[in-house]
Amino acid sequence: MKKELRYTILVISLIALSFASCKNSTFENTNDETPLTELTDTSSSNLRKVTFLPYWVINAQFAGFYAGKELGIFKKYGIDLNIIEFQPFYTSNELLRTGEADFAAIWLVNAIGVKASGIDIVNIAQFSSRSSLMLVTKKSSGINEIQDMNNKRLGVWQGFELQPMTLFKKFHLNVEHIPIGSTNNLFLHDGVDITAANWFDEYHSIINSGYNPDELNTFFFADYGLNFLEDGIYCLSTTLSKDPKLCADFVKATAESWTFAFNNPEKAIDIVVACAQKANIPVNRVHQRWMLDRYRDLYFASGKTTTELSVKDYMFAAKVMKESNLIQEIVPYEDFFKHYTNYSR
Amino acid sequence: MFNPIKIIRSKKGLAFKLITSIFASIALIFLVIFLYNYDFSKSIVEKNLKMNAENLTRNSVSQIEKILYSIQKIPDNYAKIIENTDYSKETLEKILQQVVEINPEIYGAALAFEPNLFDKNEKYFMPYYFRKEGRLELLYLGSERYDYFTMDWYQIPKELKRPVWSEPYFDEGAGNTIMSTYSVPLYRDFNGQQQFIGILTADVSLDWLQKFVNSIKVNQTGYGFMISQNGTMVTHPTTKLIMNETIFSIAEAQNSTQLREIGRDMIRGKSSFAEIEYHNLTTGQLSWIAYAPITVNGWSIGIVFPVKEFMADVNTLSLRIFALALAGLIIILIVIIGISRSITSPLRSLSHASKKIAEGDFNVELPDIKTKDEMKELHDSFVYMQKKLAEYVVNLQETTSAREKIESELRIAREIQMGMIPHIFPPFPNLSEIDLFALLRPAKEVGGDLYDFFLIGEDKLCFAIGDVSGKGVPASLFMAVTRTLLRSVSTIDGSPSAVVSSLNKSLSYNNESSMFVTFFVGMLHLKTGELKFSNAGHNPPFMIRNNGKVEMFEITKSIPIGLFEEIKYTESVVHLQKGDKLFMYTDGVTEAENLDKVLYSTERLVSVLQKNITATTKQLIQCVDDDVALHVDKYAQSDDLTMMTIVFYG
Repeated sequence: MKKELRYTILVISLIALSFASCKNSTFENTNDETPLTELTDTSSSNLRKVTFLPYWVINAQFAGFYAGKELGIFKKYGIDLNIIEFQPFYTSNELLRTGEADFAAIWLVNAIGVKASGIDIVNIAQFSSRSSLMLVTKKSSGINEIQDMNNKRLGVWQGFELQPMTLFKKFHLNVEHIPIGSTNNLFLHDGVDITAANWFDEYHSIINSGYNPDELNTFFFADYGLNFLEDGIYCLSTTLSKDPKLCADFVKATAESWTFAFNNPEKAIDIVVACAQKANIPVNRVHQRWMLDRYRDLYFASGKTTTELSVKDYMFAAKVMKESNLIQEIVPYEDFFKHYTNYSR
Repeated sequence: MFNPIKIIRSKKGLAFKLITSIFASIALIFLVIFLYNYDFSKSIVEKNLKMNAENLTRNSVSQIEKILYSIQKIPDNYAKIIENTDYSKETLEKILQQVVEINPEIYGAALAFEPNLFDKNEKYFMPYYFRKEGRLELLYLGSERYDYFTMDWYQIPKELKRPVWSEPYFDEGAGNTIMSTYSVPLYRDFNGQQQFIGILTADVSLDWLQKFVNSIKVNQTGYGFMISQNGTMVTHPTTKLIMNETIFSIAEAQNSTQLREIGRDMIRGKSSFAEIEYHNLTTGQLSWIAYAPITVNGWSIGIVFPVKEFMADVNTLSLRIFALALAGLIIILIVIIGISRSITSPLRSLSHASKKIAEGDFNVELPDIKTKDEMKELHDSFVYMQKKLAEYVVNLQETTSAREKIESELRIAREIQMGMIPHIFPPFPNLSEIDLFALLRPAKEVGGDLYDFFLIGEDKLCFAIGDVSGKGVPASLFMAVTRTLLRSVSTIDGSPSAVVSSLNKSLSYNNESSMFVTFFVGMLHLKTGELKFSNAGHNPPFMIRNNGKVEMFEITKSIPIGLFEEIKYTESVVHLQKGDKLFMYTDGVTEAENLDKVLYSTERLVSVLQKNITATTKQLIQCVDDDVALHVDKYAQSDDLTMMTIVFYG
């Protein structure tokens, strides 16, 4: 009964999310039809070169950036965008520190970690409004409730243990963490009982490896009070103070690009698929479409359309990190989040 | 003119019934044969196709497995060697080099140890020998950037504690081919316990596998494909699917739960031989998928059988049979129409002719029948009928004219007969002493009854009523003779008996036909009321007295006249009072029959007479006549009927 109820709630909330997203696929404070005259001179010689670092390989989870670059939306804002091709060994802090990347998309907790490590980055726009991270179990394993996870093995990527760890602590569970690579194969081979997964990516990969949704149990961290926000746009504090307009333009272009991608998913996916194929990255449209649709859900969760990071969301993530001894001090919210709109003029 | 449409048009016609019933039956038979043939041929082809599918799939699987077995045996064996070496860097490098060097099917081999196991100060130890431009190269992998401990090729065999073939991957270094890595976990005995120490890998190019599966061609558009344990397309004629798509993502794109189920069965190691229909991914045509697992690495091979191509021969055959059947049906239709026409056309002509015959045209021309079948028999019967009818009609015409002639003569005879008896009433308007009324109704044109009355002198009324034996012409002739003789023998001083005797004598003479007459003759003296009468075998008349009493005359003992010449007839005398009535009649009254053969009877006559005492002569006769008619009730009059009433006023 409980299981069914939870499943029903999940389904209803997903539908609600999708519905909300259907109504709203445009970010506030952005204008699709900004007259060119108001913008910086867009002739190629005057374009400002900007590098952006995604935290993963070419995928629809960055559709806004690839589509915006391809369709000239960034150029419209006077930006000549270069998206760094992600390599597994790249770390955001390193590239931001060295200046190799002007901007980076980083998950909130990772960014808090980077900031705590001494690299003075700031969040200038928070796009994600819901955690996509989840735990997945096979119904055949008998793990149907959080409590069933006691003394089981969890496959989780290195650096992403915070949410599961906090969750298990909350429920007083002893779960063995097995660090895994970038695939779900260990889970599929029954090497682990539970696997961490992103709703927009690995969960769908599992489905597309032959498991039907009704054969799986899902546990969204957000549903257990651990809604750690994800994608935000970060840059060095100095970048912001040196050229606040560039930062504002970059965020505006990003928002407009995402708006385009959500409203023209097929076109956006065409672009992503073409980029991925060029880079020899295995890609399929069905998966990319799923990813883009889920990104719409995650960006506009609960009807949120702003790119502001709330104090509550920041403080919650920071507190959990501090309690877990991942950071020593909580950086004041004002020092961490500097919304681009405050610097756009 | 031959017009099939016209023949068919009449829905109730014989031709229509023949055509529809026979044609429909034959068409149905053709259809059943056609369908049976199609179904049977199809099942044979399907049976062969299934056998073919099973053989092809099994053969392919066994060939692939043979190769994979032979490949995986190399790392398996070397793993054993490594587990028993001294673990010096040189030895390990040498062994690893050997693995690649002497096994051309292996592109590269690596040995990866657990963290800090080989050297306490080094987290990573991973020598890797691989081919590059025809030479062997050695690299030491393993670093913060290449943290191999969580990589599938390392982690999965470690966790599962058994050798594992990795999911396929692209390797640009190895010549842009699809590769799979076979990883063998290594164990070493530590204080009696097997401890995991690392992994030995062999990278194998799947070029040969792709070539082999691609070489599977089934008929024109059938093909083979292979999916990995996760459903990833390893080989497929549509190259863009390889590595990018899983069978499940294709199913999702096509919104096909069926393909998804096929995929699930495939990755779960199930087999199926051409029992599942699915659309060919390249041609979109309905096809069968046969599949079987490659048990060595958990992958699965699928072969698409384009059913339509196999069915093409069956379809062509069926189409030709159908065309032949159609042609046959058309021929049959023409033949049926022809036969129908040969039957219905003469029938129609005969029908037309019979109408003409019915209208009296006996010379109408009958259709010419050249066949010698039932139609000819019918035709001959018609000819015979036509001839006989003509003869009959001629005969009938003759008979009719003869009869008409006789009838005409009889009519004249009747007129003559009726003219012979007095028929003007009252007959003697100047005589106040009497009144008289009489009625004669012959059963046929002419009859044998008679009545007569006439005055002899000034005060003597002679009257008579008679009935000749038999009816019709002979009786009428005899009656005429009797009537004529009556007048001639009645003299002024003669008596009724003399009249009767004289009549008898004359009639008996040369009476070869032995006809006779019952005869009543009376002579009434108008002044005195004296009535002398003689009755020769006739029904005794009734006397209706003026006091209302009805008396019947005595029954006579005399025989009718005309039989024996010498008979003497007597006479009687009776006196009539003023107002007395005489009622005379023939047996046509009392013996009138109704449907039930019941006679009118004398009793009934008497009762009518009693009821009509005061009636006039004419009224009385009419009353009796009406009552007789009531009794007879439309039944044909069988005998002549005659009545006569005389009233005496004095």
